[in-house]
Amino acid sequence: MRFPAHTGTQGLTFLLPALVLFAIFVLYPAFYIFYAGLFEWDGINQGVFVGLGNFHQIFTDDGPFWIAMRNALYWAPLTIVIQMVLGFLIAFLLEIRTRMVPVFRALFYLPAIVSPVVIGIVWQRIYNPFGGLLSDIGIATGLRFLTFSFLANTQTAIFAVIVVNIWQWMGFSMLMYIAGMKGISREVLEAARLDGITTRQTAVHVVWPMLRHVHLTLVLLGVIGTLQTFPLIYIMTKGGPNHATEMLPNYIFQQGFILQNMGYASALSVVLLVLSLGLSVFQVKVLGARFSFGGPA
Amino acid sequence: MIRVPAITRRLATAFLTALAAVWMVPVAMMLAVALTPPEKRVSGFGGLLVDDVSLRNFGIVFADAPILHHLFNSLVITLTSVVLVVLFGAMAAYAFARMRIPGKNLWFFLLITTLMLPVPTLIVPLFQINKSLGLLDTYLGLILPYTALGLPFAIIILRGFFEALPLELEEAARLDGVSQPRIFWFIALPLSWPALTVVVIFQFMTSFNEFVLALVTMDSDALKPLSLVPLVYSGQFFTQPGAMFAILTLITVPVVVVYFAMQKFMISGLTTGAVKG
Amino acid sequence: MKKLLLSTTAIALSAIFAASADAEDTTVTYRSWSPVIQTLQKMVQSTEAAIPGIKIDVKTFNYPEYLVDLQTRANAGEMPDIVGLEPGALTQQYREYLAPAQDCAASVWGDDWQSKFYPLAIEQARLGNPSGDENFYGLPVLTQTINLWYTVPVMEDLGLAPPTTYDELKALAEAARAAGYAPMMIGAGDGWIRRDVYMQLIHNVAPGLIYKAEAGEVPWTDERFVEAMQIWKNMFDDGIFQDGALGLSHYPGAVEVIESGRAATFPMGAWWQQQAAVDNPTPLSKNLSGYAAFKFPDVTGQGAPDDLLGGIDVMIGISKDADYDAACKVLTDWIGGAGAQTLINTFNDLPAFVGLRPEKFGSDNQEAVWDMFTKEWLPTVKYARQLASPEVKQALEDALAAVAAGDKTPEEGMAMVQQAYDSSKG
Repeated sequence: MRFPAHTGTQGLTFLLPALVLFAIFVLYPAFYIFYAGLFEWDGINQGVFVGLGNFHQIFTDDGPFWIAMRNALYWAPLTIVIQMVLGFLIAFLLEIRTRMVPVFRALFYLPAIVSPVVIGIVWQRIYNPFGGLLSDIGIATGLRFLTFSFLANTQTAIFAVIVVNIWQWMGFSMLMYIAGMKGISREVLEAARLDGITTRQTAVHVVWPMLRHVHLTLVLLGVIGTLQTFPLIYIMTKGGPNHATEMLPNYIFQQGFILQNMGYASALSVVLLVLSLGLSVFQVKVLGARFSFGGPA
Repeated sequence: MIRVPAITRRLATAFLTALAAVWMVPVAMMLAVALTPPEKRVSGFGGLLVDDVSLRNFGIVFADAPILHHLFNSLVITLTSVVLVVLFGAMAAYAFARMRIPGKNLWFFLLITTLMLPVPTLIVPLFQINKSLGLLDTYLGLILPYTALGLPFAIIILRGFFEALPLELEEAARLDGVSQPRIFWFIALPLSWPALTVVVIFQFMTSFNEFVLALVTMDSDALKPLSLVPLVYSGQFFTQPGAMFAILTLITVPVVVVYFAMQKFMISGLTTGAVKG
Repeated sequence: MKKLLLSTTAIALSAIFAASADAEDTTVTYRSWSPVIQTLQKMVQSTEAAIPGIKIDVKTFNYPEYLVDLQTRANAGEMPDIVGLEPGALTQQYREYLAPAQDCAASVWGDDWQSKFYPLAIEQARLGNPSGDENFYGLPVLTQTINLWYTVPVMEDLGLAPPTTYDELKALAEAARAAGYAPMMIGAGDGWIRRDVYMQLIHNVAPGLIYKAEAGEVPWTDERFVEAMQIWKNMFDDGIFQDGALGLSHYPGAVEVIESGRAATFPMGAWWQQQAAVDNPTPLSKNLSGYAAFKFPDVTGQGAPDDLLGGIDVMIGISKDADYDAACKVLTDWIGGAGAQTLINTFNDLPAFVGLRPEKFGSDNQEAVWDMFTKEWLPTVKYARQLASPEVKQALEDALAAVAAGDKTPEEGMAMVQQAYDSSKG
């Protein structure tokens, strides 16, 4: 069902504010990085045109770029799935409780509002094998594996950072699930109870499937979050050791501002832009219109 | 509320309490360091076990830190961009969902191009634009870019919601001669509260926390948002961890207050529409 | 919305009025990562009192954020009047935006102005200039050496003297670990401290070699570079650094452990003296009573070099757009005038200007340390702590992490550096 044809201009009028802001603050910067990506350029002096040379180098001869891509492949599924499962579990258990619910809710959400500066410094202290929290607990209890140098080891460092990210953002997933569960009607849950199924079955077979729209929104947000991961890496590991915890935004930042390769950083941004466009189109096409709340999920 | 046997409830409480305790360890460490006397350093258990508590670090930083002023800046910037994102995002999303637009899909994919683009990749051109528009060192220099960058997510979420709304309601209004802008404003928009809440939360969080564009745009200390303060003080007190953590703790407090104020709104916003929908 | 706009206008207006109240004053803006803001604010007070008619507007950032701010502003034609610089790559990047500073120096100190500075400071200030370009794009303000420090009570507790050979380092490692101390506390998560240690190692293996490699006369894969890389690796394997060093930042991570009194030795430089000058110093840092500086041990057994590495800590350049005379007055006052005296009084680092001394020492030990740095160590410095190319610097820092983590052999590590060197030459 469509409205009459005269609404064509009206439609554009509705789009106009978004389009204007978009053209000024997004389109121009996007063209800018496309253009700058064609130069070898230190960011302030005259650049040298190198055509697609920067892109060639990215795809054929850039170790840290590929580490960053690999890390994104670890990052997205691990953070999204674990945050969803934990967030759902906690939200469900909070539905079971009656008292202290706001307190729990606030405690689990608190990490999301603590400054990344605090988080970076504190988690270094937790992982530090010399006088750090895990290590000293390990020594005191005999659980020697806790004295492992999680952040110093290039195989484990990225997972150590992912743990921090999960700790930081799980509360957000919880919040979304709490809201989603409030939307499930009493009758459905009551019916489940009268059918005599267990609490666990209620969670897994009744509640979880009804929150499809929340799952989809969290997946979308998780992918956005992965590609935009910056402050945590910037403050906690600076992408190290030896780029083992590199993520694209941090790498672009390093190239552009620390290594004076703004042209190359712009080319990396273009790759990120194309990648994110592809993922956006994919998600919108595949997952369609079912992101939001309240619609028939 | 889900009704369960008492034993399950007790187990749930125990589990939640244990997990919350673990979750709060890093926060406790922040407090522990802030409460360590300024001339003392504690090594071992990451500094968690302080035997000598002092509030002097807070005294050192308190005079020095106009936190409420920076919080005010953050709220002005964040809330304005939230309002603009909601308004412009909803208008665009509604147009995509319900109106006839030539080249609709092209516009749509153009508008969501930057859904996942992080700010650090765009600072240099954004700074140039702000300069040529005279927006450097003004609230608008952050409000407008944050709004533009927040629009893609808002449009995706809201378009999905509008498309899922039953047509009958709008159809009836239209037959009564209500114009489409009024249908949008008085019918579709109020119905979309739950989806709007998701947009509001997301836009609030990203704008409130952004610090790279804020770093270059805001030159005057008087205009700097709260997100810049930790960086400033981590440099200023880089050899005085107690003072640094005291100020970081102080910064967290008003954010928690804001969060509590918003929590009710968020939960109820997310809930009401969902029940109706 | 209206209220919002009004309040914005009010703030803007109040800023305009505040500025116009001192309309005759010239304002000089300074942006940098150094010195720390508390010190800088004191310097501004001294300098404004000493030079009537000048107001100074200062802001400091952490180093990486400073680079972002400077680049973004320069790019849009908004350079601050005077800016903090490191010799080499950073100064060269902004060369086109900077006014030569030697005229300023000559106008204040006369034609033999160069003799007022430590020779190394003059030499390094032009690091990386294109051949034939004799301009000074910045004037040095602070200098430094890099070296090791030990914690006096810890070494007394262990009954050891500061190590002078690799075997003594190993003995120290064993004793310190048995007693629960970090033998050499390092936050090797930071690239600069990894590089500082390596620079001292290669300086022991083959003094001056690294600068030949920078000039393209020796390949980075030369066996002497590899040897120094192997020693670096051994220092991890032999437990000389504390466990997990690669996952820790030097500031505040390692420094906190050092100040808690659990580190036997640690790499740092002359700037460690500033720990004594902060408000509420720790007992060890108070009057610098708990720390002593020593030279890097002779890890190769072929004799440690007499000279230390070091040079310019921070220098300051004048923007082409600035009011040159006003900027020059501020800059020279910070180098050799009232502002400089205030700066040096905080022990922020060593001066570039010969003869400046803190007006007050807290103890004889503190004064002795100062004199050792300025009279014995600094005059020996021949080679810079810095590298000229940011790509090579980054590659070396990456290679040091990769080798320490066991991901690369020392040979492969130096090959990484060579590759970065080749590509930086285009």
